[in-house]
Amino acid sequence: MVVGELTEEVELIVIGGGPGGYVAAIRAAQLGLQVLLIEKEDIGGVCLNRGCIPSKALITAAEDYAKGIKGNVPGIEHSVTIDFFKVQEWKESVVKKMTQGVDTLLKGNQVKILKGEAFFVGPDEVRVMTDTEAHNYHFQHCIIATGSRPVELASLPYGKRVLTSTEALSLQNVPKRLAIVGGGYIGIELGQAYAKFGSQVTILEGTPSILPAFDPSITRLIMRSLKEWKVEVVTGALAKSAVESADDVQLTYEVNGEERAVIADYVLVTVGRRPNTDELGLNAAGIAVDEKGLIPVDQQGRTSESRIFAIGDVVAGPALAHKASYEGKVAAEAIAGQHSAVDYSCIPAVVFADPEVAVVGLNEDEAGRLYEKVTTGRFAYGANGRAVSINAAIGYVKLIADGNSGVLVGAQVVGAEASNLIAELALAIEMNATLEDLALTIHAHPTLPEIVMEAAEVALGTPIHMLKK
Amino acid sequence: MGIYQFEFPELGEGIHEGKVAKWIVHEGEWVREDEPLAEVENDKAVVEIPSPIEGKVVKLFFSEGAVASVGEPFVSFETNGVTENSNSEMPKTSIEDAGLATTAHEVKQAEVESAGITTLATRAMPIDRKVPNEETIPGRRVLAIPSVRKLAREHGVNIAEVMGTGEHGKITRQDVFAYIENQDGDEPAFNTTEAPHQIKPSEEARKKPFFTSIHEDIVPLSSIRKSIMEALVKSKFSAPHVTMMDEADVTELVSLRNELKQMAAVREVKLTFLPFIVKAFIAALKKYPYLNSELDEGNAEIKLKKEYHIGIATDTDRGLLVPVLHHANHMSMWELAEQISILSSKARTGKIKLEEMKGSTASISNIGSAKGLFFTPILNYPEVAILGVGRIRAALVRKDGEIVDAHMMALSLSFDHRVVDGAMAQWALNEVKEVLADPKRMLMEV
Ligand SMILES: Cc1cc2nc3c(=O)[nH]c(=O)nc-3n(C[C@H](O)[C@H](O)[C@H](O)COP(=O)(O)OP(=O)(O)OC[C@H]3O[C@@H](n4cnc5c(N)ncnc54)[C@H](O)[C@@H]3O)c2cc1C
Repeated sequence: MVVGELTEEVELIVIGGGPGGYVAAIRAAQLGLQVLLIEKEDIGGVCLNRGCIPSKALITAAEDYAKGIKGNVPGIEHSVTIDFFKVQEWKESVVKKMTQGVDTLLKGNQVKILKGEAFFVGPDEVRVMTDTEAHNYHFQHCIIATGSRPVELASLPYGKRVLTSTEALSLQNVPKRLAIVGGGYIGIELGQAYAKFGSQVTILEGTPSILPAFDPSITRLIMRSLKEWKVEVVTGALAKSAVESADDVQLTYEVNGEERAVIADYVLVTVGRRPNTDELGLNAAGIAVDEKGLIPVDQQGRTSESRIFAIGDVVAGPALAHKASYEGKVAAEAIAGQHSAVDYSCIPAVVFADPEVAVVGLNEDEAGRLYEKVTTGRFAYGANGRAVSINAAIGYVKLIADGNSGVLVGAQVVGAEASNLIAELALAIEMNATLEDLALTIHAHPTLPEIVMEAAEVALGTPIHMLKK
Repeated sequence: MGIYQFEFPELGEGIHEGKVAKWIVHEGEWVREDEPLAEVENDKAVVEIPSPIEGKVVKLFFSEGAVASVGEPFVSFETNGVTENSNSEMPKTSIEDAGLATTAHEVKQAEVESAGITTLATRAMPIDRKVPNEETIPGRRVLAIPSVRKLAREHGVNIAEVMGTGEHGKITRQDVFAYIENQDGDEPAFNTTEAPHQIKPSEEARKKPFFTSIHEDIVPLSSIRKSIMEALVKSKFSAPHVTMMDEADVTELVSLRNELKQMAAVREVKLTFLPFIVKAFIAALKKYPYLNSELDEGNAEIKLKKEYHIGIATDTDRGLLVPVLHHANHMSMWELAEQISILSSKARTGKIKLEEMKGSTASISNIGSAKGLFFTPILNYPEVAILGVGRIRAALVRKDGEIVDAHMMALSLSFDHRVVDGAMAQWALNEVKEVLADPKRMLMEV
């Protein structure tokens, strides 16, 4: 420490301004704490700047364009053109609107924002490097919300043409050919979007199936749509190297022991994300990370150092923005002396693919391991008036319930607006609703959520809009 | 068609029998799964035994008033299903599912007991709706909505321990309030509907919300732990304890026991020092009867016991149990040795009956087997004396002007100073020492 350097006292320091950190900061401020939020890049974190929001904006644009090309309702003819530069401008404006909103909220709640990179120099002190200076802060409590970054494969170092999702979201032109390594949700979402914009897309997935975390009946529907958009999917593929040239990049991979190559404008690598815990000086704080780099925490988000909490992508659980925000609220409340705890029954997860996929709670196999008897009910979009009239007859809702009590334990939705339909099902699980409760709740007609009601009736054996086999 | 034989289930940890107070079903009657079969009484509460299956009751194996033990044939059924013949096929889990053998239920029983309620305590708490069972399957969640979970946390209540009275065992706000009330001990558990307005969770509970933590593991108190806790607190805070510590020269006793070991082997008896200590203790109790007494504060009198029932504190996996050597003064040394080994093995395997742990007039606690020396045993209240036995150590002692090898046994005698004064206690301890030092004297004490 430099002689004469001043150390400032702060009640709560939040490191990282993503959906975990900014939400924690606001909640803590609402509860009367004096909060300093330190963010090295942009307020809003990955989610608002380089994740959920920009990717959904691009997906919407791609969908719009696709409808223009393929037509939606017969009889309405479009002639569409695309100015991708303008699309990107619009996407940026969406991001800006959201991050400015967050900035306004933080300021309105008297959260002090400091742009700089923070790291621990002791169990109650962080050092923040800004563009111009370094400054130390003593804290009473600290929340680590530094999120995650893309994993880099040793065989495919990032470069001008080997991209992370961040660059892939900001391309200034639609690439002619795009190769994607990793068939997880980010790869599928972006792959489909660029395919709709007109790219020739190849997706390489190491395991036997894309979206390996999801049921085969879900991936089948996604595969069908990928095929429709001429996306080539190679499973069981191992990417070996990428050689960049002035105009393109050659990606070599191995499948079934055979070496193959694909030439593309860009290679997008989406093989997972790693927590930003390696450059935080956690040692100085007395905090150890696990083998994945995640920080062990208790039910309130408290680390082994009781003044320091951790939330979001740096702790275990699905790396999702809504989970980060939930944990942020819990940690802030715990620090303010409330008895909050991370205590959810389920976390919904959505893939903004075509068709959309949304799951919550247990799948049928998991339920089968926990309950003596499992009851399921599945109802197709094709038999729903709204789905057919919006020309989105593909997909289904599947409900999974404890066979003895009828209590809903899981749900899967594939199809249009799955991302919105899943909310009712998450609420139903948290409220311990039974299949009967869902069946007896009046759902407005004609709407997609009627499919949920019908699926419940299928499970109960009395669907109206389906003939029993 | 099949015949299904239902064995008498465990009613709770350490409770291995119960009196059939009343049959709710009759032979020939059709019962559904989980419908009550009988009311069974143990010394803690009256519980209903639910039917494990649906079927026709063929035979009731006990008459009302009879005592049934765990594992005995209780009821046989004729079922519609495939022959599910035997008890071994009656998985223990279904008894647990019926809510009879898990912790929270016992807790309820204990609470009911402490609330002084001995009538149908469990009736209003549906025994088939057992939440803690859910928890025993990791991944399955307790049925409670988020706001109720929060309520429980705020009151320091582990939601997994709350009995859910809602549909499918769902835990309601009222259930949480009832649990809190019940923990405070001023309301019975089943008075759920009136309770919610007047909750007053203890200050401590308010401060200590329930979460799992990486800093600690949370272990719910077993019913045995709870009763140990209650008994010890009562003893320590009722009787002013004083402990005398001394050593007995057991050199001769050690060689005597070595001689007798062969004889013991022939008789297939494990001969420890304990029978000798029991004898020596009884000699002292006889000489100083106030140590074998009970204080009746209400009537302002001391009851001097004329029988010598010696409790033997026994360490088991489930906690400390105190089986009793009834009429120990009438037993031969062999009988004592045999009885001690039978009782302690019963205690360790959980087969001990309640009456085998009742009625002691004074107790012995042995820390020597764990290599301990002196300690301050807590009285097995309302007894007045407890003899703590430490390990035997080899020592050099001065005897008749010479330094000789000796074996010394550590003794710690705790007593209730309200009844016995220090000098008397020391005289009594001296008597124990003398008898142990001179095993011949034991002959005279038989
Ligand atoms: C392409 C893409 C699409 C996604 N789509 C979705 C989706 O649809 N739905 C969803 O739920 N999730 C989605 N995610 C995941 C989601 O973005 C993350 O789960 C979420 O952002 C995690 O929030 P966080 O607060 O933990 O961390 P982040 O959002 O990663 O924020 C961490 C912040 O901390 C800052 N920081 C790091 N280290 C320091 C330091 N030392 N000092 C100061 N600041 C620091 C970083 O600059 C960053 O701003 C997507 C991710 C990607 C990449």
